Amino acid sequence: MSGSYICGANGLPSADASALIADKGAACVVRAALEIMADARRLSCGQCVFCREGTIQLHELLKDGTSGSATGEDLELLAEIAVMVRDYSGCEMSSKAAGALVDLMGAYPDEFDQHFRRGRCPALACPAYYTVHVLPDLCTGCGACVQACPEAAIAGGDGMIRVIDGERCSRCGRCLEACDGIAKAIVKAGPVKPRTPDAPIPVGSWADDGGGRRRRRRGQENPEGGVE
Amino acid sequence: MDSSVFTVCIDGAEVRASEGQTVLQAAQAAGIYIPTLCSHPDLVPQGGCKLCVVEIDGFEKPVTSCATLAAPGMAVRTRTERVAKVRGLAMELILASHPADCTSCPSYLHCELQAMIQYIGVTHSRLRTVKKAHGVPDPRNRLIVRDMERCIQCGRCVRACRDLRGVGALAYLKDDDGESYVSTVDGESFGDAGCRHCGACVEVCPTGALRDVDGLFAKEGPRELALVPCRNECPARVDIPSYLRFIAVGEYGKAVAVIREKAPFPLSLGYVCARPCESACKRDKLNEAIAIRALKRHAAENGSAAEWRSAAIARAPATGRRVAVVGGGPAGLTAAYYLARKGHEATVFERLPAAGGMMAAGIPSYRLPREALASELEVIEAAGVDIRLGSPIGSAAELLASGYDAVVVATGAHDGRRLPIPGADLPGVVTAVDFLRSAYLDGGAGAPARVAVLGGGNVAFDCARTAVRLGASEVTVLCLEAEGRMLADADEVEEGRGEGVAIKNGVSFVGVLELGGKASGVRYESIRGFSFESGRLAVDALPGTEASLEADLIVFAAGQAPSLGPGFGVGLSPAGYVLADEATGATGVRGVYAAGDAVYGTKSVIKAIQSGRVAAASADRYLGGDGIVDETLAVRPRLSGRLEAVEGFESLGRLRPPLSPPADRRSGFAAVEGSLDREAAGREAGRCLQCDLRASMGAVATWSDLAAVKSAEGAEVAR
Repeated sequence: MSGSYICGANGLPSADASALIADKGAACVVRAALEIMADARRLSCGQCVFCREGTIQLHELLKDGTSGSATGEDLELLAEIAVMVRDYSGCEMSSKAAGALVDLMGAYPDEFDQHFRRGRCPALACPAYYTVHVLPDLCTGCGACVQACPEAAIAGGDGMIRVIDGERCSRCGRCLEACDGIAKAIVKAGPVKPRTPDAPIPVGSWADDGGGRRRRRRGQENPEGGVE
Repeated sequence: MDSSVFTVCIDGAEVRASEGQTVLQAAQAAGIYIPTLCSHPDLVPQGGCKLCVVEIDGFEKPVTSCATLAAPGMAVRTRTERVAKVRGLAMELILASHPADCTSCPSYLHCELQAMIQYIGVTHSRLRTVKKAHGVPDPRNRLIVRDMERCIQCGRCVRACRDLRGVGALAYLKDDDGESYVSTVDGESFGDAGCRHCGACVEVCPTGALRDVDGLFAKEGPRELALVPCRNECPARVDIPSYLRFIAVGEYGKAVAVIREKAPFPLSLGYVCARPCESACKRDKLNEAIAIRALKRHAAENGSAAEWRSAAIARAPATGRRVAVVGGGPAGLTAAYYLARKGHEATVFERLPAAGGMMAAGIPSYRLPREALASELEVIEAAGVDIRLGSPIGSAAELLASGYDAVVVATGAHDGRRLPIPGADLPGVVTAVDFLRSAYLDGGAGAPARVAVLGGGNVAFDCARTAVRLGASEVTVLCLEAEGRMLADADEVEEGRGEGVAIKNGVSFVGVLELGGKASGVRYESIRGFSFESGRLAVDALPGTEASLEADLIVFAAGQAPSLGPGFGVGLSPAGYVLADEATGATGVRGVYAAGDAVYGTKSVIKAIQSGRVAAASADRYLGGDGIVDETLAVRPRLSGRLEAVEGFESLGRLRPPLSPPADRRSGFAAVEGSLDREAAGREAGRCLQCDLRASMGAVATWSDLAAVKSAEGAEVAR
């Protein structure tokens, strides 16, 4: 008689977890899970509590887990709800979505742990967990990144090595694209940051006295919450 | 044994179940509580809330019991650890998007969700708080309060509206972010969604999300009656929704049969009923009340008596007992009618030369044509009632002594009150009772040119409008009440005005003017206001405003009282009313019952009828009968409960019967109000919200209900 249950979900989440599990490549599996759950939340017809509210909770937890707002218990909560939604939602859509999350968590427990407990995204895909930097020894001072930045977060004039203001940077990635075909001088960094000048200096004047030594940035220097 | 009945094992107990029953239903039938929010006895299962999960042997994981059919030999466990885990998380999920503060909710303590919180024992949530707000401005809907932030999307309202009613005004919708919510289709208004305002959605809502507006239904009394305000307010509890449904499909004879189940005067009531039903009508709060009285008249005028007559005059085998009814008004005639039907010999003694009480001697014939009354008296006589006209009775004891086994006193209130002002007893001063009786019973009376009526109720207008028809050229109603606060019905005031009746509001009477030993007018003064202090009138007069109105006839329409003296042999109140028990009509004198205006003062025909029914039932019990006067004269069709959506249903206006033009009204005694035509009657009856459909819906058993049943059973066993 389970046929009397009427599910009005339209379609299934687009992301494919099994492909990720086979080969995740450079992707962030937590972000993938986030996207799956965003889809599921949108697709839920609303008639069943595990699907309707479960996908909302899973999506909210994953949002927090990818933005540095998660707490220590959230990972257990995520796992608990995901299993329950998978097993009891009663509809293909949400049970597949939650099943994908359970599978991703099983295949990549460390990635989830890094996101939820350590505030890190190994794939540097979660904006809250990386910063963007101009490598002074590669920068040509062309200014393409400045043109591309919608936040006016990049300092420096012609012929100067540009410096990105981490506080203003929104991690949109446009400077990375702009520089990609020129000098490949702009990079994302997780907890380990490249050494950069504090203010723009003329191209060619950068002397890496640390011999490649990198300093660790402190949490409070990162407004997006990249906590150690 | 029926092969479709089998046993299942629930929590170790052998429980009978039948084919087609769900596990949940089988458990509930056996008094085993399984929590649920989205399930409702009248609705198809949705399986959405997951609270009703149980473990069944052979199933790999807990399943929803509302959506699982019971099968022979099934072993069900309703309280396992896995089950508790599913229920607990489901409840947390539901509460994550529900406002946390119960005490500020109007449904506090009347909320299934709140009861469920207590049952499941979820106190605080570990989950993210989700705020869902889907505001719904809907100013035209004055019946249903929507508080959708309290909605838990259990879908009961959606299923009730779609599956039970076939209306489909409510649905799961999606907002721009893809978030689901429950609301009216095709916009924000119930009306635009084709809502029939049956209230099924409110009835099934387990939270405070959908509620009746405050004051819609009476708070006291049985709920199934309170939910049908027209019937609840009718003194005789006439099954109004049922007869309106018959009228809507043109089955007028059956409609009359329904009315006759409670009142032997359907046509007269169709003319003059005080219609408390219409004041109570739920539709009145939406836009305009159903024209119930006009519909009743239409049915009584057009229905075939074959539908009810033989049943309505059928009598139980003769009991050999004799009952005397003193007074042939609606109360006495009703009592006699039912006593005759119960097999007793019923004789009505009427003092006046016509039967009907105030319906014959007081109510103007332009409101109640006497042929209408006569047709109903004929049925009462056909049922075996012996009506003796011109037969005053001196005392109840004399009747008992002359061989009557019981007496019903229904002598009415025919003693018109004269105001205690100078000149009140002058020739040319009459009471309303006397004036109307001479106009409608004695016949041939005329009216002088100038008539002043003192009083502001319906009787005052009866007198004034009668005087107009009798040829008076200057008719004035003078009353204490300010304009718009008069006791008379607004229709009476308006129609009277239309016929040329002048109205002087806010005056108190100083005295009757005298000229040549005869009344010549009335002296009055303006007042700021008035009050009744311990039954005495206190006026706040405006000094220096005294004035006179010349009149040839002064009519006191200032109330009336019973005229029984202590010699009649029943207990009387200081004001002269018969002392009788309200619930039984018993007077304290063995075998003597009382009914009607003589007991409670002038009220209405329908109240008198109910009072007569009560007295008849009591007298019947006294005479050895069962005292049951309720009967079914029309078999109600089985209702599907389906209403279908009707575009614009919410704004359908009341259809009014035609009113004769004032010039025609002034010149004769023909009925002022016409009858609805067939088409209008069908449409008007179709406006009914059918509140009784909601009253017949199933109720959800809460865990505390079942706990009460269990403990009662336990007590039974213990004994």
